[in-house]
Amino acid sequence: MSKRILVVEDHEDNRQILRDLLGNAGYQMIEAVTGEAGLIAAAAERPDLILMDIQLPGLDGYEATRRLKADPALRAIPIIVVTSYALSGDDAKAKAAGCDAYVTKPFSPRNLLAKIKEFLP
Amino acid sequence: VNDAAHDVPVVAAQPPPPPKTRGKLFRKYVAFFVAVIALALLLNGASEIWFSYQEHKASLIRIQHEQAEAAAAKIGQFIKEIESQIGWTTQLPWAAGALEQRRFDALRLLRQVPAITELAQLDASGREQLRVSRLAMDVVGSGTDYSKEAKFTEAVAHKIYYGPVYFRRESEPYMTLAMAGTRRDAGVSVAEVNLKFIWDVVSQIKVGEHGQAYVIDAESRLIAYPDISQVLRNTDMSRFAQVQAARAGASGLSPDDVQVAQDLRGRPVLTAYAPVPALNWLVFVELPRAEAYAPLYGSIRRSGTLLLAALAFAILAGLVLARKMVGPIQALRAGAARLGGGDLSQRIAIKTGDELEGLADQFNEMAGRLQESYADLENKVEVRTRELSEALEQQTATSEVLRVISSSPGELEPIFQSMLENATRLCEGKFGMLWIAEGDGFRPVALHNVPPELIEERRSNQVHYFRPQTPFGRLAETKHLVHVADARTEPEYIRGFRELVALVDIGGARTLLMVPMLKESELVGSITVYRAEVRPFTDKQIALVQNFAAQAVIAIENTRLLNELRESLEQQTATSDVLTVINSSPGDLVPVFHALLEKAMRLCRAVFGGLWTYDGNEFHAAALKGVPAAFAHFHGRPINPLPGTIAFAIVGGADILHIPDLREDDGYRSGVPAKRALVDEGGARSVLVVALRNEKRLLGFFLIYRQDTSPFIGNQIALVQSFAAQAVIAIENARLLNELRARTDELARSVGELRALGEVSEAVNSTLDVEQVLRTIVTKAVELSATDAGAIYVFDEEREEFRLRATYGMSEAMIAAISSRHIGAGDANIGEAARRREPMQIADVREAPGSALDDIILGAGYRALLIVPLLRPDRTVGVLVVRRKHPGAFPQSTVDLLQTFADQSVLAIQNARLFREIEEKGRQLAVASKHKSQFLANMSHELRTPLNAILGYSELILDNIYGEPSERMRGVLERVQSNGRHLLGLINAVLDLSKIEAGQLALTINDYSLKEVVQTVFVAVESLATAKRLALKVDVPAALPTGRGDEQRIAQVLLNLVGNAIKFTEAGEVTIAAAVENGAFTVAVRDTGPGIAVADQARIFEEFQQADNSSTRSKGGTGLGLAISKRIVEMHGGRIWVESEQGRGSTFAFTLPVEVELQMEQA
Repeated sequence: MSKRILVVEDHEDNRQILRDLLGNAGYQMIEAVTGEAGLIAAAAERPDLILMDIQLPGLDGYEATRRLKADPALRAIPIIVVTSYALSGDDAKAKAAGCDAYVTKPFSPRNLLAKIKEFLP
Repeated sequence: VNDAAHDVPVVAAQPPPPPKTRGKLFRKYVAFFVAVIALALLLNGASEIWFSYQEHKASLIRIQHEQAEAAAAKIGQFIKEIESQIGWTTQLPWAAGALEQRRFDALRLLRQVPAITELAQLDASGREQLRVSRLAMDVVGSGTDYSKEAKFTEAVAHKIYYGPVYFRRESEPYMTLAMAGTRRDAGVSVAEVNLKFIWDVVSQIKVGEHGQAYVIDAESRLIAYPDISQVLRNTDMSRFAQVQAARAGASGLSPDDVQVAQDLRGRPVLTAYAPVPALNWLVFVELPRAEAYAPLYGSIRRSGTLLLAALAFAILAGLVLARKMVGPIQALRAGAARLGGGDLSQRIAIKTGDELEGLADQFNEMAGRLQESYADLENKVEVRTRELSEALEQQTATSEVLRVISSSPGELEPIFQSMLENATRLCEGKFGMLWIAEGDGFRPVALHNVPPELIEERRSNQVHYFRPQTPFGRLAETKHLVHVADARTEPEYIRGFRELVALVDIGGARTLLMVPMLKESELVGSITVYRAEVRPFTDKQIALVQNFAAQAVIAIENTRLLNELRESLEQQTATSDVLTVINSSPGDLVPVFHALLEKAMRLCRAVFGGLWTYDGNEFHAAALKGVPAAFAHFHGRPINPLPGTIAFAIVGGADILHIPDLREDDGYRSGVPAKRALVDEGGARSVLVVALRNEKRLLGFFLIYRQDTSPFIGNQIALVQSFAAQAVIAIENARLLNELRARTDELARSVGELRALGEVSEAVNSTLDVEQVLRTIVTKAVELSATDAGAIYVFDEEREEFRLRATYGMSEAMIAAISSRHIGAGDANIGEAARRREPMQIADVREAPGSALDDIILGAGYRALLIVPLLRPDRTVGVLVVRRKHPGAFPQSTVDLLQTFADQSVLAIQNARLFREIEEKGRQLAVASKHKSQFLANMSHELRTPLNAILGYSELILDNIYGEPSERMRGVLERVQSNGRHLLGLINAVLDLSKIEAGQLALTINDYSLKEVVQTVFVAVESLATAKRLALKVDVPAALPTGRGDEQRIAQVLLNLVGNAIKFTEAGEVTIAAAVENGAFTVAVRDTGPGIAVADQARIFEEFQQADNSSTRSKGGTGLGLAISKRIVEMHGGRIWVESEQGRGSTFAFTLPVEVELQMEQA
């Protein structure tokens, strides 16, 4: 059974890229457009990995990550944060929120896939 | 002398105990003698025994060694013989000889050599061909293979083989002896040899009574021993010291054999050995040590007996000799002890004829001399004691006189009396007299023992006037002492001079001594002692009286000084009392004057005193004491310095007027009213007046008078003068004090004003709460102007009226009332002052009505107003008002003060307005800055999101996610990607720069390795350089210190510089160099590119600048990299620069402090 990845991303183009990328790589992709939807989907679907965008309408990616990592049932799911801020300190903020890895936007699909494979071999 | 007299009994009291000394010396001699002889005998005996022991042992060992050698030779011979016999059996080759022949030979050998029990012959291949034995059947051609056994292999290898010793039937020792033939095919003969023969050899060796021999084989096992059981037990001897030593010696390691060791039974033995050649056996011969040394012990016993006998003899001889030597010494000691005990008549009798006799003679002689000197000393002591008691008596007398002097200071009579008594007594005189010079004569001031008749006779003339020829005359003339042996021989006595005749005939004086009392060279008196008999005074007696005379002079002098001191002390006390009064009441002169007058009058015994001060025209009485009632009216009035008066004389310049009798004064006689009144009403007779002057300025005068005519004496005048001087000082002090007080008050006032101003300034500067500042100003203004209330009004431009802004001392009701009124620019008070732009005061509001506020102000009880406008260059902003409840004008100082306060108020109002404006601007700026930051963040995100799609899709297409794209498409997509990345670079650079500008870029300071930074950059750009065929070199020293800074940003700078270098260089090389110097890293990037024109070098670090703008298009790049690099380096506290020349390449370099401080990060 193929591994399932929850993508929390509000931007349709980016979701499409990920759909193509992950589908091609043999992963099953679950989509959520807002942070809140991401939390619900994570609880309901129990994915194998979560790709979390930071800039989301409403609940932002940091907060969503924090809440997921605070939930004992979901804590074990690895979260890769996708940040579009290259400001210094963003990586520190992502780590503080409890993410397992992070990539900066614009990301190279190739590199992202490599990163995902670190967690889902 | 005294010491000598005391020594004798001390020595006699402690005679040394004789028996102890005798015993010591005697014992010492005997012990020494015996010790010397005993030592000599002991040394001799010991060395004798030692050498004979050594020799004996050596000879025993030698004998044993010889025996061992003989035995070894015998055993060696035995083995050799067997070898030679067997040798014959190995001569023939197997092929050549018949077996039968060999068997025959073997049997023959067994017969010839009884020690061989069995003989076997092996062929060349090691197979047994023949075995002949005494104990078993012969075997022929058994073919048993021995080729692997030692007896065959060893024999073939070494020609001969000696097997280990073994025992057959547990009783006989055997050894296998194998021998190979000289020819290869001759084979090996193996013989079993019975070694019982060796036992015979060993048991034949006899050493002493219990000595024995034994043999050990190569493994140090016992193979022959008198006690066979030890051999059969296969005893291993290698543990014994002698065996180990012998093995070591045999192998050349130790040439010294062990000569004393233990045998098998553990007894100590002397041992020697000899090796058996070829077999590596050892033959030992041993002899029990007890037996070996038996003769030696006998010799030691003999020597001991001899030694004891010799010692006994030595003790006897020592006793006799010591007794002979100690006897005379004892006699000498006893004699010396007697002499020491004081028995000097005793003589020591020793007739030994040697040095001891000489010593005894010397003792005797010494005793004789001591006897003589003792006698002499006793005489001297007697004389000396007499002298001493005499001196003691004189000293006692002197000290008695001195005691009297010190116990009665200031009183001379008891001193003189005591001196005279002592002088008379010690001079053994009949009587004595002490005279003091008075005018031309001498007055007797002390008498001792003078006959009453003589006193009676002298009563008529107390003072003695003398004639020149008398003894007194001579004394006065020469000032030297006069010593008359017999007064009856004096010419004046003979001539009948009455005084002298009375002295001699009535007083009974015969010998007389007159000692002068001299003060410096002045004759002040005389001490005279008389004797009733004719007997001259001794030198000592004369010296004593001279001493007394000197003491008397000192006493007279002391008394005079003491009296003067007392007097001066009294005056000083008075002066100091006055000074105390002066000091205790500065500024108030009356008590001072009273004190001065009182003291002056008391010390001068005046009945009246007065002090008048001068104002330039007339004199006023400042203090008066003891004014007679009748005279009192006169003093109420000032004194005019009319001619003829005392005041006139003082004004005329007189300092002191001393009128012994005013009644005799011309002024009184001519009827000067002041003087008349003084005498007739005041009863003044002698008057003393002293002017009070400071420098030349006349301050007044001091006057005292008496009602009798006794004149004031010098001391008293001086005293009054000193009091006058003090009065002057007191007057001056008072004047200065008053000036000082006035000045101090003035200063205090200024200080108060200054402090208030300071507080106001502080308020203006420290707070922007304008109400509080204005309140402070009003408060201080009211306090300092000594008014009752105050207020500040500020002009409201819009409503065109003055509004109350700050008040002090005003009731709530009054504030409310004023606030409700409209005070326009036309107001008669406030409006007018504002219009005039200068202070305006209203001394009484009732007198100058007109203002709208008049009723309120008057209603609250205020009468006077001072209004000061608050002025700015262009307009009046308000007014400061103070109000007072009593009417009257305000002094100019108050007006000036309030003007200062008004200025401060203007400043405060202005400050507050400016601050409000600045605050507003700041708020606007902060909002703008926040907007800018937000904009940057948004832009960054908004630009990246579409870029993500562009770059992401192109990569997916290139990765064939959507199927294989055409080659052309692939080319286009790659260009899309590279343009997208360039755009991303631009966005990042702009963002970085903006963050730096906005101060938002914070360095993350951590430890880093510059070497690693260089390495990272090198790896990142290596492929770029390779693509352009450029050599990329790194020149970094092996050891660089660990740096502190933002590693990522430093890498960014270096990456930018190296990237640029590669980008602009077409051929050649790019070098990255790093070094450390003076606590800073220097990193340089050198290229061989086109170089940069000097004109462009300064510009390239600015934003959007490249050396040649056309190159931006051809080479790409944002033109921001160097600007960002510059900022980052500067944020680290470093510096970046370029060195270049067109056509010669460029070097971009920057420095970084090794340790970047945190404050630089924030700077």
